Amino acid sequence: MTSKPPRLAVSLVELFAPIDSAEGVLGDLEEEFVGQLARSGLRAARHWYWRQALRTTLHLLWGAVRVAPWLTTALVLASFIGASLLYGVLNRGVIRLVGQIPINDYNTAVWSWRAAALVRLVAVPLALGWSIAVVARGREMVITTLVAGLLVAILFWNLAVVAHYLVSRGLPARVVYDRFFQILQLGMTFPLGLVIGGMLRRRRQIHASRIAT
Amino acid sequence: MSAPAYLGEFEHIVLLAVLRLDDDAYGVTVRHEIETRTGRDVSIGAIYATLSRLEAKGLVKSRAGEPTPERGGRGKRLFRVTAPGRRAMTEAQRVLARMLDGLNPLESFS
Repeated sequence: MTSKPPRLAVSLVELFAPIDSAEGVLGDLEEEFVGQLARSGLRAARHWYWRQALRTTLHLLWGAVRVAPWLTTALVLASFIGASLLYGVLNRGVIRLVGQIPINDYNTAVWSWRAAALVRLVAVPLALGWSIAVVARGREMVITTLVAGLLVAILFWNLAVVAHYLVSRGLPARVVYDRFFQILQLGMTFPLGLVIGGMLRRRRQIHASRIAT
Repeated sequence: MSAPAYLGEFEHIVLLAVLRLDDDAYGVTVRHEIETRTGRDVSIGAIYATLSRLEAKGLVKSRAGEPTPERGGRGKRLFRVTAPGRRAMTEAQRVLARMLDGLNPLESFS
């Protein structure tokens, strides 16, 4: 363990802090970390840093919403509707495209479906997250996180409905459990991809601002 | 002259801390000032979120300080209260004083 703040916690704060105040926030946290290190040792200081980083991230997220509530709501709703529509259209497009590939053997079938799954479950969500972050310039992580949160809330609502339906049909618990996790795994790739896409765009912005200064 | 901006409780506390610290108001010192005087454990994020809001309202102004080694080579973001900020604070104090006028808080709320 080095006597530096935890890198992951630093990155988390850096992702959510506005570009113009990121240096101030991270510098303040590091200054306090040095004080904690001298007083209580490395383990306690790192624990303190993680706790502060998580609290700070939540405050920065909520603070960004409070500074411009209407703009944030409009961006979240527009992104949610746009991304959901595009996700559906692109997914159907990929499936149609794969359906046109002449499949003569087992290997071709497996590889074409693997490629399609990679595009549908990884590339498309990442590209949409990146696009949302481009539109939400300066608020990349706030908007992508809130859109992802909305998608996860809807997913869990749907899961509850599906689970209730399966249980009411008298299906064994094992089957209900398997279906539940299949839907959960598939459903989580979209919000997760959006956040990672936003994160990649944000990191690029941070890198560009470092070069500029 | 426009009407003074409305201040929330925490905004009021942060503004007072910035005023007390004069030329040395930045995240760490504001946090310590609040902790020492109110006993509240607040995060750096809460301070920055509030200061950003106050800056958007034009009640504080910020400037970048010099980078220092104990801050990992990062600069401070120093804050000071603006004239509208002082007016908003004066108005908030006046409103509080008017509401308390004729009341003994210790007797009235016990």
